Amino acid sequence: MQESEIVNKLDVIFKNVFADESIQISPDLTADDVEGWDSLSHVDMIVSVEEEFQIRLTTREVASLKNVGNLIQIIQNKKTV
Amino acid sequence: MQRKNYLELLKQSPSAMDESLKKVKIAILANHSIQQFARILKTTLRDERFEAQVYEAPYDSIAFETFDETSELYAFQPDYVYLSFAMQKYRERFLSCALPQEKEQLPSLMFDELKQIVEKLRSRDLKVILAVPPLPFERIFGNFGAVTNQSLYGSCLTFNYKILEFSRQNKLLINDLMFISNSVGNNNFLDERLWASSKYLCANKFLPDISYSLARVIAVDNGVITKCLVIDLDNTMWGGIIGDDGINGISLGGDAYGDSFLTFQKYILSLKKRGYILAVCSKNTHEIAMDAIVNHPEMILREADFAVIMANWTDKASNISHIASVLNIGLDSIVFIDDSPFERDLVKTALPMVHVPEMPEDSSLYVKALEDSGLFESTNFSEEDSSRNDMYRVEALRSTEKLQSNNIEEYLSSLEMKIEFKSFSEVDLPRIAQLIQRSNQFNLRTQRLSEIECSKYSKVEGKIGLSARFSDKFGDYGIISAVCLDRVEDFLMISELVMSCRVLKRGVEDCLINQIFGVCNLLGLEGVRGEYIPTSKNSLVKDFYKNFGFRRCESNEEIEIWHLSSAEFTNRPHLIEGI
Repeated sequence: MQESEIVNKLDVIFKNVFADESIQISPDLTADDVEGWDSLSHVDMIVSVEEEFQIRLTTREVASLKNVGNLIQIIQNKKTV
Repeated sequence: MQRKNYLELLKQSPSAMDESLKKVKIAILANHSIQQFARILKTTLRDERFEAQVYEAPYDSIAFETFDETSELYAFQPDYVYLSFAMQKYRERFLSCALPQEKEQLPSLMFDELKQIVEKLRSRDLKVILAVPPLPFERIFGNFGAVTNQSLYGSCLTFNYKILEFSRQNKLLINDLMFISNSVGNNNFLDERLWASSKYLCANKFLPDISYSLARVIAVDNGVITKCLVIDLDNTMWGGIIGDDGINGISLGGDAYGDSFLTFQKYILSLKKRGYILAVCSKNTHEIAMDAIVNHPEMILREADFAVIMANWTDKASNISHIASVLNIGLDSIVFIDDSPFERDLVKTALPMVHVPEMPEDSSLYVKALEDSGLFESTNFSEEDSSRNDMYRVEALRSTEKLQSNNIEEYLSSLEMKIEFKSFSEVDLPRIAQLIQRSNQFNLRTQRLSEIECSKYSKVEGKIGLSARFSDKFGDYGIISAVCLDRVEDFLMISELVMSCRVLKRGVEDCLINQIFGVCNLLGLEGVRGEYIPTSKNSLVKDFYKNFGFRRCESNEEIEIWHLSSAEFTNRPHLIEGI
């Protein structure tokens, strides 16, 4: 899957889950940058990503996420089989 | 009511209090995470017209909150305490049992702990709602796991049965998560990763199911209940249309399709025995509807099962209002069951407080659709409930009232109705002939023309055939009317006019008469002549000509002859767009 398509879908998900229309998806975006992004909404975001891309993230993968760039990478890996 | 999903409910979490709603205070004591649940609970309770204040006890502090008299729980003074024990926590205890005897005793031990909590809360006069935990998948014995406490699955089963028995004996309210989990599938409901990382009881997407279920329990406990089922006849109680198909033509029993309606009727009967009042609301002549109810050999529900039977040609919203006033019950206690999206939508629009569950196309799925609606929630049952319908029936027989007409003009214009007139074509002939041969009620002369006779109306000079195709925002109804016109001397004769009863009283009749006079003027004729030949089934159209201003000419008992000159005719208004 093209990175641009992933970014577009993440854009929709992030804006919806974190209730923030001003979010800009970028590789170094983290929870510190977004007010509505706490541990609770983080789970909602992961679940939404899984549903949207029809993938499953392992517990390890979820724990390894440091920024959105990591997330994009993982999605790309899973969607290129 | 449309069920919203998890994210939608989260978004709608109210911040400001709505003072007009009934207030309710709920304390949640759980040994799993509850923050997101507490938020969406407020939204779902709003949908049930309650303004909820929720106290979320700290994680895994059930015993502390309960046994400490000075705890915030008691200071909060809740109306309800919702107790939810995670199956995953039970599992931790189970896995820490060293000896088989400990495993054997575990369900009793865990139940005793739960029982002490509940009894303490009740001793402080608090109302408890107990969640019945979902079952685990770990059997370790395969099928044998169900019958031994050495299996986590068997142990949880034993524990759950103790909870249910305790609730039955002490009249405790329950929120059956075991049922929800079974319905959506254990595999979907439980989520190991979410438990491991965040102590979530289940996948977030099922929190709405749990929340709606709890909201229903609270609503019903506060007296917000449904009492009466108002049910349509055609294609709801049986397959087909009694007015057109006749008592031998409708599907009830006999084959798979007919059996689905029997199953449905038996389900409705069981709802009556559970305490529901039953009423019929059908667009049919009263005699024809009653004939089926009384005489069809397969009917499960008979005349005596209904407190009120409304079979007429008035709109259903007016009929339901009438039923409510005859039974002296609120409109908000009525559930309206009808296969037709048109009727459901009309009632929803005209009477928004009436509950109108969506019905699937497949009649074998009717029962499931009603169960899924959540409208039959209850907190008890007594034997008197079984005779409630009979009591209401006797009362209804005593009272009569005039029908009030609701203004449905606005609704009709929102329907985007369209009509298309065509002459008889080869392709349409079978359907046209079928209409002419099968229509009994909206049929002026009951001339059962064959397909060949119909085809003359597209080939022979002086014979004109009109077919009408109808659609609205719900879909295409196909050809719903056929008219056969003959040019006789200097007037146009309506040799046959039939219309499907499905599109009655929406303006199609007006479109037809406009079209007929259009043809008359095109041919330069003086006027239109029509006959009404009364039968036992077509009293519906006895005033057809009169309503359009026709004058009656010579007639005898068997045939009425009517006439209207085109000079005296003015186009009828209606809300249908011509194509």
